Amino acid sequence: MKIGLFYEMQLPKPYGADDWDPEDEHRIFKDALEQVELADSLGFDYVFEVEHHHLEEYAHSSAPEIFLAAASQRTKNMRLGHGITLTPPPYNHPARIAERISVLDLISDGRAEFGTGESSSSAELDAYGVPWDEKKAMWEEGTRVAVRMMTETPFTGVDGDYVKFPERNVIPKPLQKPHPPLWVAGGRRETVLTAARLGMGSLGFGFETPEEAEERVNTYWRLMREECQPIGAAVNPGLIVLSQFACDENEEEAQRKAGDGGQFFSFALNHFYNPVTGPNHAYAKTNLFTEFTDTPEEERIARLTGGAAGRDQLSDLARTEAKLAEQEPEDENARALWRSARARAAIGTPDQLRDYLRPYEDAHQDIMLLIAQAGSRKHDDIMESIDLFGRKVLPDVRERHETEHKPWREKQLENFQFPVNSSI
Amino acid sequence: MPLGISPTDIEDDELRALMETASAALSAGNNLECVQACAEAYLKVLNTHENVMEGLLAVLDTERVKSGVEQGMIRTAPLMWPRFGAKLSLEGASPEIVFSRKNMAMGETIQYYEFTLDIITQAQTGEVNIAGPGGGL
Repeated sequence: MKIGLFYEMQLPKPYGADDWDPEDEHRIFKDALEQVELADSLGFDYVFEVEHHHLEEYAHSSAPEIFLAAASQRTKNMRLGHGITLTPPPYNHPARIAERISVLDLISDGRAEFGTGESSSSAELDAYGVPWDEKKAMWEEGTRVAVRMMTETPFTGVDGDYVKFPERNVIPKPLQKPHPPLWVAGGRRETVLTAARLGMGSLGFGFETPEEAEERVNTYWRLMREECQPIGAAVNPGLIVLSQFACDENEEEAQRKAGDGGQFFSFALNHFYNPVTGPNHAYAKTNLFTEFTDTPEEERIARLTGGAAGRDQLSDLARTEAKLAEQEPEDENARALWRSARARAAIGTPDQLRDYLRPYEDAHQDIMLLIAQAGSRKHDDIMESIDLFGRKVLPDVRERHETEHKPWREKQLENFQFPVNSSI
Repeated sequence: MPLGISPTDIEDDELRALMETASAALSAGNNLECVQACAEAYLKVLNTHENVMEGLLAVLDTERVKSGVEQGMIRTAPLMWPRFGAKLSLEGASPEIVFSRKNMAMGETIQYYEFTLDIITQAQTGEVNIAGPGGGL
């Protein structure tokens, strides 16, 4: 299993304040670049960064291509992942996507990963005029056209439902041929199956257990072999799982470093994606971190189960940690958020993290992305976590990737009927 | 719920035939035909399995889903036919699927297909899960 970092560029407002401190946004990007540079020097394999718009406090990462371009000049080996690019055309025209991905690939000497997705917030969809019931179709057409623009010389034009564009040569072309590895993001089981059928890597937001990961691996690879109709000119077999992350030699100190990051991550995402709360967000007024801090812990968790019924049901039960653990939601959306908020995840001592990672490695998960930067976690703590993990845990994981996982993947890819472009 | 269920796992002859038709259409790239077969199978399940219909109505009555449907802001929920280019209507005497467009993307088609297989499995086992797959980030 390969290891990477995952960034939303979370920036909670100071408690009780109407706005951020003037230097906060400047600092968060500069800090993240330092973190990525350190991770690269220690052998972390990937950095993935989201594209989101207007999701105040939750994600200030609206231009990942700029951050990744800067990262490309501070790193030597790390793969640079758009995690993801919003490909419905109203967000980004496919020609502009193709051009940006290609330039990133060129200036990074072929290290770009092309992640794709739709978003599910009214903050983004409504602002850009993306109809909810057409966004998946838009995602697919936008992705298909962008890939064609990277591979066709000249691009022969398109007269689609959402994109109309004449014959042009879209330049430059990416360094990686036929194009950088393709990913699609999503938390649902169906998205994993869609990824396999379209020959894409699955950038999973489900916070799956190792047991669930194993089942998904088996089904994903079977569909990839038997039912694949590639969306691009090469397939990218790969499964990514996410985990909250903090590391210290002392377990309690690791928990302190992790702080409220996981819970804030879920609280804020649920706020924007929930059809009850999302449309009522008051831009430049709502202070999510204050609301988060003032909300009792059991209430925060109960909100993730969705709606008043969930709150009523849980408020009586959520008295102890044990009872909460029994209440893990079965709804996939709620469960992913719940797990991000509650699960131990990759938080602990180096020994604990080795134990945590091993079942995912045994399940043949390809990549684990660590969410180091979340909530109000401190830059110095994040740097220490990356450094310790990189020195004490990562070498063994990298070794096992070469000796155990790579041969397993090669076996899966025997007699594969499509060209493969994968960095795994 | 298990992943990657196959039409051959379906016990009901009519449902199995519909999903085999859907599977063949999906493989052939006939997306609309696939979704139409899935819609027919889903409606048959709703009409023949009272517990699925009861579960669906309970889901549709939750604050999150009701609000999402009213505002057009939700596409998936447990037991609810995904709201892409074909949507469930419960306004008539019996449930129906209303197609608003004829072009279905492959990703939409796959989701309809896998959703329908999952619902059939739930109906078949009697383990209807109103908190089961169907949500999504």
